[in-house]
Amino acid sequence: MRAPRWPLAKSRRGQPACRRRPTEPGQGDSPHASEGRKSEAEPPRGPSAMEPSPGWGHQAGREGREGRLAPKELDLLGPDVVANVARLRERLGDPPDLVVRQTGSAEAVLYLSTLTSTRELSEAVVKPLLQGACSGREVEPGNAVTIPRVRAVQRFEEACQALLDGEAVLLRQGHRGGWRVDVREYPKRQVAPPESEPGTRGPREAFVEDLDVNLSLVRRKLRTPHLRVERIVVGRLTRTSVAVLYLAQLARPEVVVHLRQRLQHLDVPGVLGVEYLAELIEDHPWSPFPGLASTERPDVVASYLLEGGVAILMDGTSFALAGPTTFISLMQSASDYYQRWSVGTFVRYLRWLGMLLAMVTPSVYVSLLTFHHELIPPRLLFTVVSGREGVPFPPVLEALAMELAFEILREAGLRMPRQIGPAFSIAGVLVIGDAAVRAGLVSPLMLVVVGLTAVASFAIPNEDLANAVRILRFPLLAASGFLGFFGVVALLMAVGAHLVGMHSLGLPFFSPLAPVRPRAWPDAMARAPFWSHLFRPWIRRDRDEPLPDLERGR
Amino acid sequence: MTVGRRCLFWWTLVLTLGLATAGCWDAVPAEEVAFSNAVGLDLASPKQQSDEGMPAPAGALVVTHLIARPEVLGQRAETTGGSVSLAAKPFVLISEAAGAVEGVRAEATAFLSRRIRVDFVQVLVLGEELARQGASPAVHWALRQRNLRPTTFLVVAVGTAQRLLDAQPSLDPLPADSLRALLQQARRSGLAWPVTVLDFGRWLLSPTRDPVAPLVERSRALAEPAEPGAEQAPLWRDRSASDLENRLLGLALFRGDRMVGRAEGAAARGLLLMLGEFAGTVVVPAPVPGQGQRLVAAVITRCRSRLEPTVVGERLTVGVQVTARALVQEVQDLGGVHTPQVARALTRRLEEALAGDVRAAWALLQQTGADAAGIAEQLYRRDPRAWAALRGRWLQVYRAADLKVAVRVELAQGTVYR
Repeated sequence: MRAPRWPLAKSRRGQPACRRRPTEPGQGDSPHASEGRKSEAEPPRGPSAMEPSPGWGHQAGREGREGRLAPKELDLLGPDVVANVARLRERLGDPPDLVVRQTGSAEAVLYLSTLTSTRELSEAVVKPLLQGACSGREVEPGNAVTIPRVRAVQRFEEACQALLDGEAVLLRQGHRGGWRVDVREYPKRQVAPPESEPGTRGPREAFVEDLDVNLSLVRRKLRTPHLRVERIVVGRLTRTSVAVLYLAQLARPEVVVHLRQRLQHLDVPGVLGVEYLAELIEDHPWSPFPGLASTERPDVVASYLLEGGVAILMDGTSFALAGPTTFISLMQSASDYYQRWSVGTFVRYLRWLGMLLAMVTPSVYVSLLTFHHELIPPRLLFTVVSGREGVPFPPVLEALAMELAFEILREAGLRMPRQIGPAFSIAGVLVIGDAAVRAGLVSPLMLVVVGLTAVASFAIPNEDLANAVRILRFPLLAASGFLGFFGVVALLMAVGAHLVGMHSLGLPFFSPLAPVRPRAWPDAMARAPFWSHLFRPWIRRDRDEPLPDLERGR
Repeated sequence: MTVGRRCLFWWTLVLTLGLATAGCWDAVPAEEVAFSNAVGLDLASPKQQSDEGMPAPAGALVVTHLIARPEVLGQRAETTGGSVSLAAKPFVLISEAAGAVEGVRAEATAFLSRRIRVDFVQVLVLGEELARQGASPAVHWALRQRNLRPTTFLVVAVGTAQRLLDAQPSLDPLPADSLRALLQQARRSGLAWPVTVLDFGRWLLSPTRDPVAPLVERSRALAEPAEPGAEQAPLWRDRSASDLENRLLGLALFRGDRMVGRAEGAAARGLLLMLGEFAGTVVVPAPVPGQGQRLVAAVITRCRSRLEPTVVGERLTVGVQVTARALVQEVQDLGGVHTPQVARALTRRLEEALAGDVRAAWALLQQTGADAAGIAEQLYRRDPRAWAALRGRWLQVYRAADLKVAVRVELAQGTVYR
């Protein structure tokens, strides 16, 4: 039989959502959790669950591949508890943290102690089962446990996966299949202020490594029934939960479908961070510029969603992806919106200036000193040249060496223990720089140029964009050393052409400047007052469309 | 051809054309360049020629490059009272006699470790003797230099240009800086206005106007050091020499490309008034009731002029209308100057003084035959036929022309107020 092209086919046979992990209490697969699940845009289970509408069934991208597994692995759980336990133990390689507890004469609970809350398990599962056994009443274990996150499990592989996800599996002698109870407990970090996107004002909370916590952070900001959360499992071995968030009717359907398809078609052993996903799904993976915005701030994700964008959260990472993004968006910071519009506008222009300085300052310095002396005012030139007296290297090599040295210092500072890292960086810059100047290896102005470049690069709010600028600085430097301003301008034109040709989830990356859409300019060229632009979805659209009125449900 | 290949082709083509035409291959690190800050041109004297032991060609030039020494300029030694001291002389003069200006640069390359670049020439200095012999070769050389800015200032040195460039001004490390600053504020001195190489070249080529250039001489400093230890001049200066500074003297008048006279003092002021370039100070005696004559200093803050040459028969009459706004800056007595009578008298005195300056300038212009005010140009614009008729005997007509001067002064700040 021909294998289905889309791995969705397996789920269509009625095995959806086996790896779904409920996000909130009361949203499990137990019968009394069905209402809660619908709020997360889950399609109903069963044969109709795999319609093209978004929902849990799309995790079946993985399921489809499993549909091609050996027939033996597709076996159902049998009625013999002892045999099932033995098979599960064998399938998992008899791990030392696999615990099998007998709760009655004919019942067994299996769980991995390293992933499970034993206290909750004892209180909510084992104790009710033991009480039921003692009372002599015949109660189905799925109904006896006192926590709602209980789902029936039929397939053997599904039971294995439940154990690996941290759930407990209940088996009863003589009963085909079993129950999976969500009593997971992972070590998790407390919500803390953002480290890579700090701000003096605005909310001081950042994502953590737990997907449920991250979802709750976003939900707290968007308490609307239009918020859609789709979960997709990515990674053949890591089985990582990925959540796609968007506001129904506001996000462009083609963008959502586009993103969903890309995630579904991923065929990788594993993803360990959201950055993996970004590289795997973005439009231009060879580009130094990011195709999706990476952020650790829930308010940034919320703003993207309010503007009609899509966000991706991933379990195990404290960063989220948001898109479609634009070059302009990457130059904006959340703090722009937490201060007055005039200050925000000024800071934005400063940031643009900083980016320009970070990119071209060394190359302009080299061009001026090598090719275009006449562009420097005489007194300044004499000062510059006096500093270069005795320096044995041409300006381009001097600049390259200093830039590389700075990058090495920066990288070494990151690897240093936190206690000595800053001190080391300062010592590196001051001591080594001063020593290099005294030794006549570099000119004092070169230190100024490198320092200015370094400081300016920190003005770029998005780290991925800042890294792209860092990388581009070196070819620009080489071009300036060979060709002067001509080389710099030629390379900048090439970069500009590349940027104009880029797309992010289908949206032109240089929008609204190219293509020109003046309607979106108030929040692009400046930080216009809120009444003029607040959360207008055309920002993330490449054409002007009638906007839905979410408040009236249209 | 696919889109990628087509794109690559166009990029390669643009890059090749750019490289071929941009001239970016001749990279010269700045530290390998000798930056000429000023160029002086003199006529070679017979002594200089005999020193070389060979007959110099007729009209040989002595070309002097003022080469800045960045390594000295960049040194910031001890500062005393806000001024910066330099440990050594911050420039060198490179002089060579040759038949052509460019030949000197070629010869200098043979013994100089750096290339001489004229990108930063701020002033072109013509020696007086050279100016009297004809400034055309020097100006043509300057205009043909691709790297020399057309806005470079041009001055005529009293004596030799070399000596002018060897000055040691107190407030500027380089004589060229000092000259440039002098010229930039020349209008305030009431003696000259800045003239660029481009201006001078345009006048040289014009059949209706003669060139003029600021005249500068070596001079002693305005004040000697008050006492030992109070001097704040840079350390390297040799204070035994008395004339270390450069001073603006007036204007060098040319007829054609040859210098024919000097306009100093009242004549220079008058010429500036005729051209509406005057912004200096005028000191006149004014009658103060009960106190006789008192000196009053007035700064001309705005000056407009209008030249109206008219021809009646064979007679040229030049009308000069000057409108000036004068700010009373200093009065030797506080009382009475604001009364209408005194103000009127002061205005009249100022008008008479300025008219006298214009007449002095006109007399000098007629005497030398230099049309520095551009009378012919104005006549050509107003009455081209008359100009065409007079062109052949312009000098005679010009020297016999009548002058009608009308000066109107508007007095401001006649009273004392704050």
